[in-house]
Amino acid sequence: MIDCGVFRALLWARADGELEEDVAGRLRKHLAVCAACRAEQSRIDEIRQALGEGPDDEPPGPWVLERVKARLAAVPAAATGDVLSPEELAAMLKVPVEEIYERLDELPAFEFAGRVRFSKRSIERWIGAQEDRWRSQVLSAAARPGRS
Amino acid sequence: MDALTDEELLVLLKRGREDAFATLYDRHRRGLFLFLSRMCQSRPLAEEMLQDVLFKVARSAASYEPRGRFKPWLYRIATNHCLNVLASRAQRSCRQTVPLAALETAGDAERLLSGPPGESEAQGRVEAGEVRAAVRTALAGLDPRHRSALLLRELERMSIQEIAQTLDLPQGTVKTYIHRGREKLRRRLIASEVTDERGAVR
Ligand SMILES: [Zn+2]
Repeated sequence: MIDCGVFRALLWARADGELEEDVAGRLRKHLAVCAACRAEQSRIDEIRQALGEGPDDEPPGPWVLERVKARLAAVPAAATGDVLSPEELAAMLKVPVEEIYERLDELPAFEFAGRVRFSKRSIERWIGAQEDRWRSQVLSAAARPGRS
Repeated sequence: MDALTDEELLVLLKRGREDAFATLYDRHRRGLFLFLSRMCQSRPLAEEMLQDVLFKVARSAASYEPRGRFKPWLYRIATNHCLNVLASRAQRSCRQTVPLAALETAGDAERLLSGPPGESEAQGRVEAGEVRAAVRTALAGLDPRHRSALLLRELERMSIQEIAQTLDLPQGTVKTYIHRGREKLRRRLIASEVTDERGAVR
């Protein structure tokens, strides 16, 4: 019985499949002679089973995917592609498209076949930079003394 | 489609391929739904969350970096959504003073836990239904963060490192969460064995 504490600590490791073979062998031998540790082992098995998939856990059918697709179709295509049109970028930033055209020089845009386009990744990076700028402005304003 | 890895499918999805989405869904719907069900312990809520998570996955595909693995990315979205939903529901039910029924029994578990556990094999033969109830009750009583770490380990068989990545936590914290979670489940189970035995003696 002296080793029980050590072996109990190993039971979960064994359940996780993370026990080295020689240690696992010693644990097996101990389990063969120790009812208390066997009870502990069966608790672990019971917990595993109770957490795992039961008859009530059947995932819902294809209707889930259909509903999600319908929801996706209802929003502008902005977020699903790598490349955005000015209209899609406007939808993404939730501003009128005119604002996009007016600020083309501030935005990471490119031209292809005579059309203005934006790479989603560049836009995201650009937004990140804007956030940093905004944050440092707010912070420096907060740090300024004498504002009551 | 079936020969592609999850990561390759996500890159296709990123390019707007809808069939890639369906394949990813088929692959992960069982695991994802089970995770969500165990997180919130309610089938209707889990079904609702499943849709929200899938929606977010499709919407976030564009920002997915192909260097990372798909599963931690997917479960990160799922866990964040779950934690948000659970937190806002908890806030609402607090205001309406509706306590989680599960928490009441969790206290009993601690009180009943007096003698040393597992002295004989005769003790501890509990009906399978009771075991499930006891474990799920204890699960409901866990902090949602601990619960998510435990479930990613138990259901998805994720490594500590993957869970740390998924939950954005240090590996040591993940280990602690899992250990505490398992210990609480175990204690609740022992408590149910004790009550069961008392019932049998009477
Ligand atoms: Zn022992």
